[in-house]
Amino acid sequence: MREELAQEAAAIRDGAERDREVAILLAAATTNFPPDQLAALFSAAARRTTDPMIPGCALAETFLHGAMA
Amino acid sequence: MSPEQRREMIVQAAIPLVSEFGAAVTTAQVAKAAGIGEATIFRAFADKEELLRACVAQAVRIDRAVDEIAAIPLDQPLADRLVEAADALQAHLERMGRVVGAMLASGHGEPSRGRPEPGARERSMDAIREAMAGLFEPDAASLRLPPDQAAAIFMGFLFARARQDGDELAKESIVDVFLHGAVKQ
Repeated sequence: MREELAQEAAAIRDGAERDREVAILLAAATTNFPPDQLAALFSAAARRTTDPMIPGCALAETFLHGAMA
Repeated sequence: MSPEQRREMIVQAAIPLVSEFGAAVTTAQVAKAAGIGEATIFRAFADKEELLRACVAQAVRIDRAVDEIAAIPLDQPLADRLVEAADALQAHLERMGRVVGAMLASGHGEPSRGRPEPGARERSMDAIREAMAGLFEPDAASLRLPPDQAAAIFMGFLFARARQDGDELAKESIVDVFLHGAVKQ
């Protein structure tokens, strides 16, 4: 799922609206919060986190599994 | 009191009024709030427009939020530190939004004229990120990412929340997702 979410992050950074697609991806897993709320958060974060030092895969990994190792 | 201190004092007195009345605020109102004569305002500022620009510039300054984040005790759990940082940033965004929103609502079409020079926004974001990275330092060994990258992603989450309307996750939930992930282990 991380790779798919990273691809969605790249599309969002390019200006696409992908909330629905992200929500569908997340719905396939057991999430801590409703997928639509999480999708809105991820999409908005991807739009905000455009710093090149933060690749989409790092954003996706942190989003899915947290910043704590 | 130096001229600069006088300007600062007047701006601090004026900001709540600008938040309420926007550009329709009068210098008489500001003088009364500051406990000074109206003429004193015009010794410190060329005209009301310059005072309004100074108020907007002060409202968008990030220094206060950066200081608040830097002052968060590092001996409390990381989650609590991050919630406090979220509060500080939220308060900053609200302060800024009230002033700029009131200016626009009162028909002052160009509040951006009072904003800092080009590049200031980037410097502000860097200052926040640096202060935020400091919050992660004590837990650096437990993180998947270096503190500065963790700070950048966390800020993305926080500002994302600020831009959502209504049905967004609470800040405590944002911190939980950020630290432990959206997927149950």
